[in-house]
Amino acid sequence: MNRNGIVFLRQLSALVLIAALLLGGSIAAQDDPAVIDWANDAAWHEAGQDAVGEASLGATGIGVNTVIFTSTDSYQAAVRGALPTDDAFPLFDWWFGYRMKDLVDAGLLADVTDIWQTHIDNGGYPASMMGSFGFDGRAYGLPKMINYWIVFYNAHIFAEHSLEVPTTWDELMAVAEALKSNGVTPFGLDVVGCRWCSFIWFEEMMVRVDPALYQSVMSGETAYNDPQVIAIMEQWRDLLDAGYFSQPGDFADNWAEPFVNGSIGMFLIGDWYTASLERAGFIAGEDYGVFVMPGITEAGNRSLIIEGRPLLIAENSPQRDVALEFADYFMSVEGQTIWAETSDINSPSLLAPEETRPGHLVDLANAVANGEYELYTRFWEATPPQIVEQVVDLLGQFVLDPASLQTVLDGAEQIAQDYWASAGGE
Amino acid sequence: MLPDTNQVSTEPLCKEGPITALGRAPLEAPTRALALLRTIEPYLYLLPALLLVGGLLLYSVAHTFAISFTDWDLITPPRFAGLKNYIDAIRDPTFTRSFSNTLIWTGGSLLLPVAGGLLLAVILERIPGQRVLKTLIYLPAILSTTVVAAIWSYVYTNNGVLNETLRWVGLEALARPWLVFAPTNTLAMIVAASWRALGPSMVLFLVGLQTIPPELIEAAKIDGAGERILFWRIKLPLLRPITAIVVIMSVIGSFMTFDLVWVMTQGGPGRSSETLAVTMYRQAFIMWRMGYAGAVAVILSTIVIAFSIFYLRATLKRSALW
Repeated sequence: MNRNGIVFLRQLSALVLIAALLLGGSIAAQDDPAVIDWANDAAWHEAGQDAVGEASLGATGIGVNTVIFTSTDSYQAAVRGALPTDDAFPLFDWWFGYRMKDLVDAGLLADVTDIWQTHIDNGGYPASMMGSFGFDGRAYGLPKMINYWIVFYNAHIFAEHSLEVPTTWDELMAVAEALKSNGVTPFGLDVVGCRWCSFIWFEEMMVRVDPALYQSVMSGETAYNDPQVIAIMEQWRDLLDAGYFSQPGDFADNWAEPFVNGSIGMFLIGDWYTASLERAGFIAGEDYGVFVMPGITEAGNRSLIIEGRPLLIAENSPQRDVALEFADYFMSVEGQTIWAETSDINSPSLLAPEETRPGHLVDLANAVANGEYELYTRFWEATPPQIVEQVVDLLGQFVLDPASLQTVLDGAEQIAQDYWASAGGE
Repeated sequence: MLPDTNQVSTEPLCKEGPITALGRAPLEAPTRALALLRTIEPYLYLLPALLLVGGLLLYSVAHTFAISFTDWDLITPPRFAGLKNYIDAIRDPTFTRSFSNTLIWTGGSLLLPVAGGLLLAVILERIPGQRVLKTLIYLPAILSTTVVAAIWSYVYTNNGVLNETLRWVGLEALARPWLVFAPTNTLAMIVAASWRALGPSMVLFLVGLQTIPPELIEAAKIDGAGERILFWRIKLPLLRPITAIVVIMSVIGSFMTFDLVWVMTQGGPGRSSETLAVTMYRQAFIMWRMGYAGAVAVILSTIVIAFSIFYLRATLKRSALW
């Protein structure tokens, strides 16, 4: 080989070496265990996730890379499709209760019971909350967000008609009657643009009368057409017949507008409705207030429906252990304080500073912390989705045609029986 | 010295072989390899498109067909289920309702965008100021279906534009919750979809009308044909190829109706406005029954393909285009 050939070979070797170093470096950067993906479908969580990731990087050496999906359906399909593989997102948001049960049953989620226990022991979370994030005493999700389902009332309308916040069921009915007689629709409910909204008053009436019965129906032990359930549904039917609800078709896709303009006096919904009202320029404490719906019975007075958004960790992700370490930081007071401050949500941590909470939810959070309420999982997640997805359509039919009560409950029971029979057979 | 490029050759052109990407091939004694290469050359040009269609379309079709015979929830391995999904679908009363709603969509899409588009094209062809009117009618077609759905959701609310207008003109008895009860909700959504689809079909018919030779029209007029005879005996038969395309597009579109329904009612209330495409989506991405959704997709595709073949055969045979 001549001299030129040797020089050429040397140059080639150097190039290959540099390329290998660059490539190796970039692969190493991709595999850096200190940065883990955190996927969700809620774009408004991005700033909060990034801030917690940055704080975590400083405190624990673990950062996060937020991956946002714009469509819930495509998000769910992408996450489910990847979960059985090692391409699974190490951290991802999901829906709690039965919505995560098939993932648990398939062994796709990391067990986070120990992390929960540490923070329950520290006084950070009520022990009853863990039950909504797992099964059979084990937890598989961490509380990223907890929403309480409460009644929002238009303060201007209440003041105009000299109405007080009701503290008993009879007072609530009196308020509803007063609003109706003054041309204001007492309660807003949309089952046309929002098919799932039909369960809101079903679950609320159930827990206001007999929360144990609600849980029993959810677990398949009591039938939907049980006489006790029928009696409760008849009370709801009476309210529908009395004209206390908005009419089907009143709403387009804006639930804030009729409440803000005063055509609807009260709205029973998750406390995330606060954000919609804020966007509409409605200020808590000035323009509107909130209260927990009074019980119809004594047992129903202490009930509170909760909705949780869990943070899950993929069992098959190569970064599973790092994700667990990050999850521990996220549950801490420091993590939750940063999360609450930057995401503008009500932190589920009982130790999160009061100033991080939206003003009108402070009392409620304190009451929950003091054990004044028993928490019940929202219908959407309290029973298997195979039942929920069909029963919400039937409940929607009931709202449109209250006379169909018996048919609707018989149909719901048939769906539940079919599911529990097949689930029991597996 | 440069050759004179202006000089016209008197040699017959056929003495040289055909021009291909491999160069002008000599006719004399081509090697076997070169001949083979020349034979497969056209197929090489087709290869990228074939790979694309084969990879993206045919694979998806085959995959969907395969999973329609399984139980699969995306997180556990698919289990063979035979014809169970097809039997479940046919026995499911919701599937039957979705099917009949889809047929209503098909009928509505033929009546409003197709017949309406033809009517508008015939009227607009003859009136002054047609350019402005054509633009106005075509305008909704540039909106996405989601935007159209959002606009019409407002139109159809109890206190929306439609009910308020009806009350204003004294037709209060006609005011109703448009998206609540079946089949009114499906019909109301067909109107919303037609608002967007009318423009493109009108434009296609206008193009078709312009391709009719004016001599034919003149000759018919000289023979004493009036407007009615001109339309039924001359224009409509000559529009057959365009009509076939518009009908096929409308029917396929109506069988695939999903996004507008999903935004406006999500197939409700109580699944009363569900179409087959919504049922398919719901089973796949809400119930996680991929096999069942696959079965619905196969049934839907079979209907569309069968209709397209029969309709095109029947229509275009007469136009000698099949």
